[in-house]
Amino acid sequence: MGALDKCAAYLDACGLYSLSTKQISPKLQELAGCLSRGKHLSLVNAQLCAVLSQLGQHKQALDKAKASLRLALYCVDCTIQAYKVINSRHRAGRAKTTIFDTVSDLHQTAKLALPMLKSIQQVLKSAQLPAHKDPVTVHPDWVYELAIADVMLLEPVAASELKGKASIREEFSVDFVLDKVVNVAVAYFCMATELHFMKKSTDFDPERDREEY
Amino acid sequence: MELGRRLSESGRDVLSSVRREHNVVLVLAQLEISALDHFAVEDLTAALADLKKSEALLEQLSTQGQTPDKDTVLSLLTNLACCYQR
Repeated sequence: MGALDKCAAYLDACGLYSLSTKQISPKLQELAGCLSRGKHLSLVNAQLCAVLSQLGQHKQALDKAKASLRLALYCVDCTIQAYKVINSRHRAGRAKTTIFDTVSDLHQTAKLALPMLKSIQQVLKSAQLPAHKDPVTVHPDWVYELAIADVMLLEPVAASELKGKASIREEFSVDFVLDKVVNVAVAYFCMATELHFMKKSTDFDPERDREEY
Repeated sequence: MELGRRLSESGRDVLSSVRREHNVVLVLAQLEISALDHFAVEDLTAALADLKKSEALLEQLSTQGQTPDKDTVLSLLTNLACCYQR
């Protein structure tokens, strides 16, 4: 068994700890955990797609790219859900002055991310880029220096990083929201690459794969 | 008297099992820190050795019927994949 095969086997085993993307928790603490694990697993699947592609297993690689996309979109949905929870707490907290300051502060942070989140949702639904005046087009510098290989390269991780102990507030920062968009883009790139490989081989079935293609 | 002795023995067993489990968690955490340190200086052979020790410990836990922490296993699998990828 070569190093690439072993790498694929360990990445594949990560799938045993995958998340169910069908349900989104209504609790902020659980959402924070789902987001940190979801982002990690999305990258694990994208990486596994790349490794399987190198091994010539393009059909399996495409399946992993689809799983990566599912998880990346799930992370966007979880962030929107978190906003809704914070927003409802903010409304309910108006009467309770003791918790109002904390909730209000978090609500303000989340509210700043809302135009960007809505814009992402719109782009994903309509597959059309937003107008230039849209806030999502104002990117920080790192976005312009980002290479797809930097995102795809899996970095070593500590167990504590996956537990989602970080505050949900971070998930509304520009960098974190754009990070989620980058993961969606990487997953689409992986799918397109694998479909391109499959189109050359006999694995490609125009009827079955038309939608993705 | 006999029942008391048995209960006390079973209590000791539980306590020693808890201590063993606590020790395993500590050892796993230390091995993880050590592996990440080796990664940082790109000493992949040493990182792999630490991760393999963790893998063996977790396998031992599983065969004893204990469920290891999900995030610990997930990070271990990811780090092992990282080693073989580079």
